[in-house]
Amino acid sequence: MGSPSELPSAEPARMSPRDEVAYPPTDDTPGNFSVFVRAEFVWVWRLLRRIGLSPADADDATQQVFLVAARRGGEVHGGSARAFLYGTALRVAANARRSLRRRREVPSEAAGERCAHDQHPDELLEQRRARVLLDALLAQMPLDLRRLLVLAEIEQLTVQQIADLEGVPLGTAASRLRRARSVFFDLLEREQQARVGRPHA
Amino acid sequence: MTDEPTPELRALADALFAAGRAEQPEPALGRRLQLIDPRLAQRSPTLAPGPSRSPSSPVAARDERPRHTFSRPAFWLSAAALLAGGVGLWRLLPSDDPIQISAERAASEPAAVPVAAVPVTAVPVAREPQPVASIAPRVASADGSTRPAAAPVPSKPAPGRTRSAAVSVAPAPRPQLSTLRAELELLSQARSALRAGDSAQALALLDRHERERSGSGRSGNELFAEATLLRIEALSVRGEPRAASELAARFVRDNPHNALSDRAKTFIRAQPGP
Repeated sequence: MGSPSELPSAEPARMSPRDEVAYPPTDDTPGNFSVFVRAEFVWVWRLLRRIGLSPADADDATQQVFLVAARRGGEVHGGSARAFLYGTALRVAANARRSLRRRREVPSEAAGERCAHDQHPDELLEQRRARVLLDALLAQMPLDLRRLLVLAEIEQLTVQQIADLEGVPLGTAASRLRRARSVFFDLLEREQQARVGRPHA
Repeated sequence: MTDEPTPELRALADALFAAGRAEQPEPALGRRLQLIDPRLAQRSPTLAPGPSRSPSSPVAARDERPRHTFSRPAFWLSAAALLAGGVGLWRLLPSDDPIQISAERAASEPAAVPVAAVPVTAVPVAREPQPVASIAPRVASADGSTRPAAAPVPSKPAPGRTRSAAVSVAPAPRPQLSTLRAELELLSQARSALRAGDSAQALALLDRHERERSGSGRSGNELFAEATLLRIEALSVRGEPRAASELAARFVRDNPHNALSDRAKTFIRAQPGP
């Protein structure tokens, strides 16, 4: 198994068709699984964050996703490992949200962000504010549109890749994505107008 | 809403998306995930993640890097499988593993397996009087046999143990194993309490963890860093930023190369205390 020290500092920024790691590997040794995890876990975590989980819940959910992938790796034959992770992540997230509702827990703003160590405080603050706004807008979107928007705009997937992940025809994915963008920009525009009309604190 | 957003709106949206893209999980998550062993996960139904099971379960994800041969999760899984009637988990172990030899032989025994034939499984559970409350009873009940989880373990092989007598598993590390398991369980409970906002309960569990760890005579401190980080967070949540900051500063000073030091530093910077 790869040493934890070999882990790059969370460099994989977004999904790319070029760097997808096939899974299950021919040899399901921990080392190979480790390579798979390293290549894929960041986008899974980020997707879980943007569809409404707190960082801590996203950590737990990501671990669940990869436990399922490890356990059911043999069932991924012939399909896309990434689509498998995507579907599993959505299911795990749905369970996590149900659990949160049962516990009536509302992630606080403070709990929703973590500190990074390699950024200027001003930059951190700006990014944090931006993410708070982003999540607030995304939270108002229907989940099916929300995740499409995340895949397209944050993970920067093509429509074809989104269609593959969602398991829908290309045209369907394209029309849903158009609608998702329309809803998002509508929400953003309203937010902007509200800010303009709002007196400065 | 028009089909095309204005350039200003598009620019703002791009900034928001970029901020979302910039968010990264903690590197510790990657390290944790990389410890998942697909060979264990694929063959063990007990590893199926469920809502009632903490996803950070050390059994499933091997949170701790094993330092002893017997601290591998495979050992524990095999033990649980045998107590539960056996589901073939012993195949997870290397063929030259003495525990596997025991397991295979035990599995080939008649249904009423003599107690003495499964000493390997009983030792870790029996050595710890209170640990893993959620695990020991479950193992015992799943067993369905009359053997209690905390049954005394014969210190010497029984005379009739001719087939399993070859199993020469040194008992020395087992108390450590039990303690480690109990530690993991306690820390998991403390983490859950902290996430639920119950810092007092988290601190009580951490205090108990500290007492039991020091009382166990264990020299290792595999979970010391994690426990300390939890305590720092619990103190912070409880409204004691100064105590949290001091503890964090001490931790960073004493463990500058620990993977959790970066996390601890955030408490020093964020809550320096007056």
